[in-house]
Amino acid sequence: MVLLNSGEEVICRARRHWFVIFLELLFLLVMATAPALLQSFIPFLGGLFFFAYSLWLVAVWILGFVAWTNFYLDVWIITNQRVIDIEQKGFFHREVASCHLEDVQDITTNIAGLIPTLLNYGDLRIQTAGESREFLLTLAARPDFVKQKINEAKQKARG
Amino acid sequence: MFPVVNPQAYVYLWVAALLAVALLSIVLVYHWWRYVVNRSTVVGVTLVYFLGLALLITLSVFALYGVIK
Repeated sequence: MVLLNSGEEVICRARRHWFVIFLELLFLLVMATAPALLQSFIPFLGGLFFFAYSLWLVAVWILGFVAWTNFYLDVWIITNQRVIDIEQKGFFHREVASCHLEDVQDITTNIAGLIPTLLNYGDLRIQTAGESREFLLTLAARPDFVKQKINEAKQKARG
Repeated sequence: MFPVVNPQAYVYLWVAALLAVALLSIVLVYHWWRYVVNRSTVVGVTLVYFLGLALLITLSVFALYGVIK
């Protein structure tokens, strides 16, 4: 949770694209089903296999939620005063940086590849005049829309 | 294929796994309730997480019973 200044309003939030978490969860699904496939090829694995498999499923279930947590808590919050970059680098490692809209110098979007073009996601980079020189959100959803929102907010902040 | 060990060892393994799960669950739920702003998202995720976990732990109990019986 981020404390906003008085009079500060959230305009939009930017996260990585849902396809990113979809791929991670798909990988975990494959990891979850792989031992069951193995069992069908090696039939002499007995009850101990099911015990180990059940613990494996618990681990995969938790890993799925760890992935979701990292995905969901990595966010840019664009307000009418500043851009707040929250980066969840793992449990107990969270970086929060912000820059005022007037310090935003240049916003770059980079959508490269077939799938990013079709699904509209890519990198979003902000050059700032502040202490945190560069903000980068990789694989961001709708980067051009977010760029437009920041530019609009910047123009409004200028008055 | 698997080493023959005292069945009680599997119970200890299961308890250790459960303790690790409990610890990780505390960490996860702490992060959700502290950092996720949308309360309905937090409640939904917490419910889904614990329902799935309860189902899988129940499955592991049956699997453990199959090993030690």
